[in-house]
Amino acid sequence: MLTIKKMHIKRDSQVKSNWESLLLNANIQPEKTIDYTAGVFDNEKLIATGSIFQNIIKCVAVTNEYSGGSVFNMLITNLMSEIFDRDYISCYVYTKEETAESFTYLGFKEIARVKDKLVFLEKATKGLDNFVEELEKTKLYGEKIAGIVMNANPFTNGHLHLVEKASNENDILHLFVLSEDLSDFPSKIRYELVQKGTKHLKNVILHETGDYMVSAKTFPSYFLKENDDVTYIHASLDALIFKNYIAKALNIKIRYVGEEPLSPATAIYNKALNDVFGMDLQLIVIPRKEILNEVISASRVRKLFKENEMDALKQLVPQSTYEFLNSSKGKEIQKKIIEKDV
Amino acid sequence: MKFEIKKQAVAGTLESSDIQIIIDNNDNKGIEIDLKSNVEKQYGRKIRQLINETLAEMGITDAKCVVVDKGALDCTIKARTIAAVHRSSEITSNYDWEEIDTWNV
Repeated sequence: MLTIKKMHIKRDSQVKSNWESLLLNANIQPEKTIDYTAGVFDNEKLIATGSIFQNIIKCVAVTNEYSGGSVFNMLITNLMSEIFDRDYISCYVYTKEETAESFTYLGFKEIARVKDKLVFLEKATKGLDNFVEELEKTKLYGEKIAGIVMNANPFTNGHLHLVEKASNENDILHLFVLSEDLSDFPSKIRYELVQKGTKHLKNVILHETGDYMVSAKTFPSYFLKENDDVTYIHASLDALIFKNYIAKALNIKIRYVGEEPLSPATAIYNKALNDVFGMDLQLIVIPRKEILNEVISASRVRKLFKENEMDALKQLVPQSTYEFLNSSKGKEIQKKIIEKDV
Repeated sequence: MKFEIKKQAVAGTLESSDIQIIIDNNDNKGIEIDLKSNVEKQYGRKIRQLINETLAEMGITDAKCVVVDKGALDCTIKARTIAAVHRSSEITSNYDWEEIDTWNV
């Protein structure tokens, strides 16, 4: 008798170790960024499992003797209804190359593949095709077209330096601001501050990244710490999507990134970009701007903001960002940052 | 009863003999059906026709449908289509059974 039920892997260590050993037997890395896990049981025995984080299906494994259809379909139905019940309108999968086909049988479409490691697929009525179509509407013609993707949490003089340099060296600069709301500064405010801080640069076109660039879908380890291997694989995936879809849609030939001496995840990300781009896209790494022998970074700004060192902060951010940090909305965020770490 | 594709909705499962239909709006682009079926060659055309007819009966002229069929019978295909349209129209009670009956389900 087969049953499917929710597994409380975070509450029950016995359940967790059963879950982990099933995954490890199937050669799948148990991940930490998970908010729902289902298990299929034959009587008491765990024979298959799958998890989700937001609208991403991951860590799916079916034991060999039950592979080949019905258990898998039962599991994916359960995970998809969980996702749609949470009002998401699309759903994504990370899976090994061997199992990617089982998902395409269920109508999932392959978006990117990191060889021998991972395939990323989506199921949506309006998916990547739609996103690329919308993006193409903003396409401009020029000799040299570049792209930058940034979180700008919040927008600093370091970001400004990077943008100004890329703007000077190119005809058109597409600047993408992360839309994922997992950072201290909400995406709307981050976007506005970038907009204000770059409005003197006429060849800069602002975009939101949506689901397909450094989002919790394509690059979860940017937001939540995973081990370095997982981070590198996720980063490669993100780089592939940028190269194969985003850059192609806008005819971007060069991507600029800031050098990353401080955050290990971003450093791995830069390496993955370099490895994936190869000869197809040029990657330019700009050294960080320094003030008082210390690089300007958004994390340094957040730290000073948290400690309310507004004078020290002033020389690290553009006037528009400084004004926002001093505004009542800015103070609300400051309060949240302070409370978060208590 | 008046139906309108207001938001994305889903009906059905991926299990054997069932069909999963995800429906979404498709402003003035007509009915688009993206079908995946293990009996596509034999019944693909029939499945599309059934979905199209059911949508037409419900007065839906524009919709994007992502469909995965696992060998569903005609009655199942119709029922899942009707359920998806109801959910998308945010009608989840007081169904008009008499009207549904006239569609010969």
